[in-house]
Amino acid sequence: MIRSSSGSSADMGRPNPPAGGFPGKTAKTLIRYISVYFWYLRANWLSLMAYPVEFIVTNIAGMVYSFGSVALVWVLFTQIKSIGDWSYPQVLLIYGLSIFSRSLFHLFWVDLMNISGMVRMGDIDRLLVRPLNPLFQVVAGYLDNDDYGELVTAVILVWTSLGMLGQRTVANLLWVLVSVLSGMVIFASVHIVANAMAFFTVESSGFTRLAWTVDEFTRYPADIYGKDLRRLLTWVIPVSFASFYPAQLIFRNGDLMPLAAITPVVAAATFTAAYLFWCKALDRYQGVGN
Amino acid sequence: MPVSHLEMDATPHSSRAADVSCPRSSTGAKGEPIIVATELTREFRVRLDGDSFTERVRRFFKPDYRIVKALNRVSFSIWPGEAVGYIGLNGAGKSTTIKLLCGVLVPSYGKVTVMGLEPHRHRTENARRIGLMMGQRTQLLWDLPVKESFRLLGKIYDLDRNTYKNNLERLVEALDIGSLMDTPARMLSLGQKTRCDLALTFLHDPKIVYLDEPTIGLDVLARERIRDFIRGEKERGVTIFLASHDLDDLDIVTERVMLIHRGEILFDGPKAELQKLAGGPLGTLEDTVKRFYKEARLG
Amino acid sequence: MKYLLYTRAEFLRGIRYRASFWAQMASGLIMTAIQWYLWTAVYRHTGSIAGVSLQEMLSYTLMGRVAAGFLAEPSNLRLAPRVRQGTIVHDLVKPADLHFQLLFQNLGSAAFRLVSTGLPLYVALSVMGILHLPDARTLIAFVISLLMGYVAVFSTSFVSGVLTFYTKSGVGVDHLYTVVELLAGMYVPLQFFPGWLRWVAENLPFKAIHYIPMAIWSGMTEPGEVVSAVLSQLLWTGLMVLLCRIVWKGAIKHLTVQGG
Repeated sequence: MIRSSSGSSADMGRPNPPAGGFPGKTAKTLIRYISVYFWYLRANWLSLMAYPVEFIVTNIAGMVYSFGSVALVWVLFTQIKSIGDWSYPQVLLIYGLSIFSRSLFHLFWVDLMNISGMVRMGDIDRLLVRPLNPLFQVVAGYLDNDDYGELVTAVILVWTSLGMLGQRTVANLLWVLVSVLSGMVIFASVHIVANAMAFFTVESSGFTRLAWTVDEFTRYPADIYGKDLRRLLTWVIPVSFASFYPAQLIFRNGDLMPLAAITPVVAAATFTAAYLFWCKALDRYQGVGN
Repeated sequence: MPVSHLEMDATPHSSRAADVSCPRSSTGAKGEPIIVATELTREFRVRLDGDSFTERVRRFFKPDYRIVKALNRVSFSIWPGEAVGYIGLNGAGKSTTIKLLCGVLVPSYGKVTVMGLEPHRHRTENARRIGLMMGQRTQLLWDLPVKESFRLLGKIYDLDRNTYKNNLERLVEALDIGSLMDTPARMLSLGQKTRCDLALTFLHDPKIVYLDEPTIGLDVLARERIRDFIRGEKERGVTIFLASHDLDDLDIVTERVMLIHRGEILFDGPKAELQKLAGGPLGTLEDTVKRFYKEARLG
Repeated sequence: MKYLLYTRAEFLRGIRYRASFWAQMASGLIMTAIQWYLWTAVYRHTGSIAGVSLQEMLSYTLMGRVAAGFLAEPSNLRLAPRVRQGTIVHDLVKPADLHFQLLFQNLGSAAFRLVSTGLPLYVALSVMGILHLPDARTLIAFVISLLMGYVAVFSTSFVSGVLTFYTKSGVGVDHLYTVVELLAGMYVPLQFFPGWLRWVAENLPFKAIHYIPMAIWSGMTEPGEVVSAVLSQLLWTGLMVLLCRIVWKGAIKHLTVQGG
């Protein structure tokens, strides 16, 4: 640090001393990131509060939006008894988990969608000259303001369908929490990969949209899709773990319970893979290996 | 090697790779250089668009590319405490150079070291020691009072309470932004915004500050204020690298000037030398560049 | 016609980005696959729902996917940002009328999406034997109806876009569009709706966007009723264009008198 002009050149060129041993350093870094994240959250919430009327109007509209999309399920079940072999409350729970995970993802990770814009405007460069992880800065930099409505809809859906199934237990609610957080991470991973395409091609809105479309798979029971597609959505783009598999634990569906149980593991693995891809893409943007 | 004879005459170090480690600066600074750029080259691949309708449709299926050299074998050294003006027309390669020095971009060829480190390999370490201000892009949080931007940035740079307090006090006074701290950034004028952005750039005590067109769109008074501030920071030992397409900005950085054109450095030396070689007072940048470009080609 | 130049420019913009284009294509395929699987599963235990067979249903929704790009909501119709950024001045001094300019400009991007993503999808679906070309009379009616569908979706967006000029921002407009989609029959045909909702949908213009063309294509509209369906769509669409003119003239007046 330059405290005065006289002492400024003394420590120049010397790298920072390592901050303690490995575990100590990791813990320290983690604490630092968590605390910075809260400062970002604070700034984000304060920004939302700058427009209270817009905030309320958007979120009411957002709730209408999510109810509008649930309307398909509701309208359908006024005419039919089941989709595939799944009953109304079962379909509702899967749908509910899907939009629960999705709205959490959208709420906290929405700025991923702006990466192509950030590349174009040079904002990515700004992130690269700050002493924090760039992906962290992208994600922490902006919170969405219109997903609280959808979140409320999701909670209502999950709560109602659990009641209809007679499964509204504490254990199940805890499981819902674990599974929607895992689902959020899985969605985030898919969108990280899709939006990192902006580092390869200027215009990447097609990929951004593609990721949104992939999310759609999670709204309905995964076994209505063909066998190959279902495998793809389980092992390659594992979005089925964002709604369908975790729901099986609540249905007490013997065959699929083991798959349900590994949901958090799948989330962690997916995120790791997505992060590695992100790093590669960022390298490419910076021109490493050219 | 497209180095002008003018430059050779004007400065003790040429832009040839072998000479850059020579510990002498054109403006008399001593010691090891803080920035060393050696044969710095950066290429971009640009997709061609096509003029006619059919050509564009064809290129949709089979695209053509062209390699553009934004920076071509540029070498220079900068010594601690120097203030360097990096002047060139739009598209000359100024921003590319800054991005390479900051570690945002990686050289296609050649090498850059900043305080002994390659910026892109030691990105975070480098980031703590440098400041970057991009004239057209503000760092301010748009909807929030200015003080919130400082608060957040203090956390991002992990400044301890005392450092943060002292630096903020000093900058607020030097740039006279105390009265703006409670105003939302979106309500500031351009001049006010620029001063706040400057303060943000210097908040974490950077050793090198890169300023990319910092005075763009500002009036004479605001410019003067910024000039005084930057001079003060230089006095404190901060190395200043100022890129601009405006010759007036040379008032801010009086000593050393590098003139870049089409990815190559045409001139590197004291400002007075530039004026002398240009034969009288400098006209517009365009005229100066033209004159130097012609002579460099001849030489 | 000078407005067609806007159409051409938009088309060229669309083919500028290849990778994005293929990704968009993949999105279209996925949406189509989801629809196919969903409806096949829905009909697993039943032959007919609300008088609609699986074949008709697939024909309705999958043709809906083919035309989805063509009938997509245009995103550049907000007046508020144009006013805020001051570009509205440029728009107003141009010799072209902004309303018509936007109508044709968006027709360009809509046509591009139809040709680029809709057409290959259609070919694939007919090769797979899922979509069949109807008789000539139905086909002509469908094409006319589809074009009017575009005018209807554009007009809906345009009116709400002009309204953002009065509300000073576009908040909520995007979100409320799902309600339009629902009432237009984009999720399910109107005969699936419970009685009151069907009454609402039948008496609003939004069915002209999606339901009428797709019902004609899929054969849900009896051959004898096709002409009257097209005529009613024409009436609704005409009313919407008229509404566009009214709000647009009102906005211009407001702008020029009050200076925004």
